[in-house]
Amino acid sequence: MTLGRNSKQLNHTLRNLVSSLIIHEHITTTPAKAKLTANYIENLITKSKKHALNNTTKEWKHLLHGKLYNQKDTIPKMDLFVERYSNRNHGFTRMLKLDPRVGDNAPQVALELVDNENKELFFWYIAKVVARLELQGLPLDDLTAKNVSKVTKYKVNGEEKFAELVKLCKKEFFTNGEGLEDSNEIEIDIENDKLDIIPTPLENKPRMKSNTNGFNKQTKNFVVVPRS
Amino acid sequence: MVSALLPSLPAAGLSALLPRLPSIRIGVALPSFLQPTSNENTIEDINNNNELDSGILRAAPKKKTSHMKRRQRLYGPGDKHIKLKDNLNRCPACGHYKRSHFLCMNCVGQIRKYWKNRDAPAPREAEEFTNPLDEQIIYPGKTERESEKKLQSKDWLVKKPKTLPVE
Ligand SMILES: [Zn+2]
Repeated sequence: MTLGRNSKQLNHTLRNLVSSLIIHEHITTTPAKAKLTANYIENLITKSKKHALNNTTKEWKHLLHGKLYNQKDTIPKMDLFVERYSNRNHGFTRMLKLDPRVGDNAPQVALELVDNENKELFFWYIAKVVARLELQGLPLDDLTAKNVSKVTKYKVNGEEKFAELVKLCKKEFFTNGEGLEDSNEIEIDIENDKLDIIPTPLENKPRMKSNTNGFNKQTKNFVVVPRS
Repeated sequence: MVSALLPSLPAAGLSALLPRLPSIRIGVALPSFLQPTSNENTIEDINNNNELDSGILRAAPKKKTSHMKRRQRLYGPGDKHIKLKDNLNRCPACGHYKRSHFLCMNCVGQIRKYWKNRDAPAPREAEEFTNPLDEQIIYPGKTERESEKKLQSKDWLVKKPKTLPVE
């Protein structure tokens, strides 16, 4: 678990990663580093919540100076996390697997803070899926419905934000990029020529192997999806 | 033929090639403490002379590995081949191929591109000149050489291969 470093270098690496995660709320690293970083930051947030309850935040912030870098930016942000994660006891981070890095083929993951406002990749991805389904006039499949509820559950005004993002995704990712200045015009455009906007008209087919990708595995009354 | 293959050695070198025998000396035998110690001399000789001279053979392959054997060793075993990916799914958002349990890199690329444009700092406003001549004098423009233009294209960078749609 030392990532090929001695303890001094490892500490610096971890503190750097955690500090950037706090500042940007979304980073891309290798899974080994991401796991360490996630542990570290979950610990920090849990402790921050505990100290906020006991009114010992001042002393805790003094200690945080030794655990983080860029203290001017990072330490005030811990207050934000305490407020944001008041409904959660754990699970403040999310790891998303990405394709291996070009060049050395190292496995990559995106590590992000759950429910962040600026750069929540999973939120955006699900919004993009829903945008496509809405453009085609199809109902949400089980997995997507589950993901939508997951993503909007603890977010402040989650459903409104999600609906807005779906609108933006329709505009940004499913149009050819012409006449995108007035939002009203775009809506009309989308209504008029649905099929032209989506380059490859997708039906709501099962996702090749299984419809749920392993989530909510049905043990009874399952439908066999043939691999084509 | 043989003489052509052998390196041309000087006479001294040739004598060194021959096995070392104790030289016969005629005369009064010196007492043992005056005689030169033979051990040191031979070790020094081995170190100083080249390997041909030492008469010792080091470990080395006897034959060149044949084309067939080399290819059998390197390319025969199945686990050394590039494996086929059977963990492919269709992306629910864009319909391109993606690995199962991984995010679709096409969609991730699009989203990140949008973020980059969104978070980019605002472009600097152009200076306003009352006299257009001033602008021409202060900023006369730049002529780009062919090499500089080529550098701009960044064609040496290895890029991610594009994803393909599922038909
Ligand atoms: Zn995709």
